[in-house]
Amino acid sequence: MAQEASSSTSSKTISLKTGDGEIFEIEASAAKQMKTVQRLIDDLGDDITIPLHNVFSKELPKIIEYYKKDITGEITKDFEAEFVKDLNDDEVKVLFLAANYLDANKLFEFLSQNIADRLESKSVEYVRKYFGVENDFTPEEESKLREERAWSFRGIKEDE
Amino acid sequence: MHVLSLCAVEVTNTSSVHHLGRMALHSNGTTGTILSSPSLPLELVEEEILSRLPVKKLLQLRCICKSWKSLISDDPKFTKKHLRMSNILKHKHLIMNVLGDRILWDSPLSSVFSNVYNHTVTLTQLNIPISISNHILKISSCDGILCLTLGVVGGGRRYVVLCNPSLRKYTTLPPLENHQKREVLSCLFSFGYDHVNDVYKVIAISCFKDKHKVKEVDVYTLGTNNWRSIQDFPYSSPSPSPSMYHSGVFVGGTVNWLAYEVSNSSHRRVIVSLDLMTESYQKLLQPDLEKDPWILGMCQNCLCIFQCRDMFLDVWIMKEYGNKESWTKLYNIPSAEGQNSYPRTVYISDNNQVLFCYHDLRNSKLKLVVYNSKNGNVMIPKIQHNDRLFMNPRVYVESLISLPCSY
Repeated sequence: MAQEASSSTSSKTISLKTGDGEIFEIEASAAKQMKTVQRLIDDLGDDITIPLHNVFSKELPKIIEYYKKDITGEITKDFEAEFVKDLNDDEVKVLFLAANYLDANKLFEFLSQNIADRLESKSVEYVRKYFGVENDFTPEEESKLREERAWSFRGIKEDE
Repeated sequence: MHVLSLCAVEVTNTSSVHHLGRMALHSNGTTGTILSSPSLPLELVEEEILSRLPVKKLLQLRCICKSWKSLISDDPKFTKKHLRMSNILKHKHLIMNVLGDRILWDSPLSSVFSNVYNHTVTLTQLNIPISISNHILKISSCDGILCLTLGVVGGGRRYVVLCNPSLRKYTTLPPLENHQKREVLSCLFSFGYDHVNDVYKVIAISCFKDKHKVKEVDVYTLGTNNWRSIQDFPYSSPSPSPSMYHSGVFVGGTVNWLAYEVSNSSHRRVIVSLDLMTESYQKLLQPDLEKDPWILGMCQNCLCIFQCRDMFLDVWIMKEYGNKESWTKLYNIPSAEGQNSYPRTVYISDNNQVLFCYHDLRNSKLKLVVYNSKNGNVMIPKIQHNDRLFMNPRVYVESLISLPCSY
């Protein structure tokens, strides 16, 4: 067993309360990986239940699961693939935002890459909707842009 | 108001949160519930997700809205971030040309490394829309920009075309003044990035008939109008014209050439380095090598030496630039055809697979081989159009870097 009882934080757990009122426990060492949580601990102490207004009971367990694996050094490509396998694009987005809010860098970068991978094969319209971006081009401007780089819209290999 | 609680910012002590408060930028106005698709703040999107997309996708996404177009096409900071993120196999490409031709042939590098059964590496053709009736002699690359030397084999004028194959943009450079009235014996172009001044530079080493022992050097800074003359190249090459293979190698702010130091009646190989910021030369010390010939290359962002001894290709890497002690022999690769086939490494992957090439002595065709340094296995990728005489295999990284005055 790796952990000696030299520091009292090594086996301590922190209570986190989600925006919808549920409470979850994590190891203090996992909490360290989420800078937002660590800052709150520094300010409020580690005996208090840390309130996380912007994270909810749907996402937090998944995030905790990730960092549980992280502190034992077990995060592999296979684990990461499995982790996102059953999540749809919107669920990943919610996790991504939560990871950002928690300032959980490793998870944030992993999810950024995963979202980028998912969007790579999607249409412009899908991406627009996914990010909730309003199109401020006129139809003429948009079609001109599409024509300019028509080759980038083609999936085919040959240039003309 | 559309309460998306994930994005509604409560003030917390989290100063490093990435601008979550700006979510309102992209409200799509629907009366969604908490469960509907929350919109992402632009700051997050631009930095993390977009910077990980391939250039082809980003070009499509230019038509999403004006601010995205501006980010993708006109934002140097985003371009740099994207370039940093591009340093993964997925965003790298192999590029080659055919002897005597002006077409570039491109393939994703991951396809070349694929060990899927019966996989064929398909090549995309890129035509250079510049009306010079010459062919591609040399290719070098830096930050996703290719520096193409065009001319005819055997002598004559040399031209440079810079191109960003990811954007399909090409540009020519102004002509060298000192080439106008004098007979040029040879001209060798190299390309690199001066990170101190944040500019790209092309270096031209020219040799003229009227002063054939001297090698005049000119520098062109991208975005300016003319070439500038700098100090002459301080060493010589074995023949009046620099050999086809000995192009300058760009490594972290310097361009490096294989040259010869002549003392008494002998000459020994030296590495000459030009610092792109100071535009001054220094000699670099090579490791203690056997007498066999060797050439320079670049892999994993370090200067490399490729030396063929007996039937093996030795790959040396200078782990710490400028430090002679840091030269390390990384690999000793069985290379069936020996020295005359000019074996050299094209790319070394993160998991130590080496893509190397050589010329088949029987038919002069370029052969590409993937060598797995962990188990010694060798894989020969099946490449489309393999009846053609490919040359200059190079790896480039996808980038958004735009070229001034390009078309």
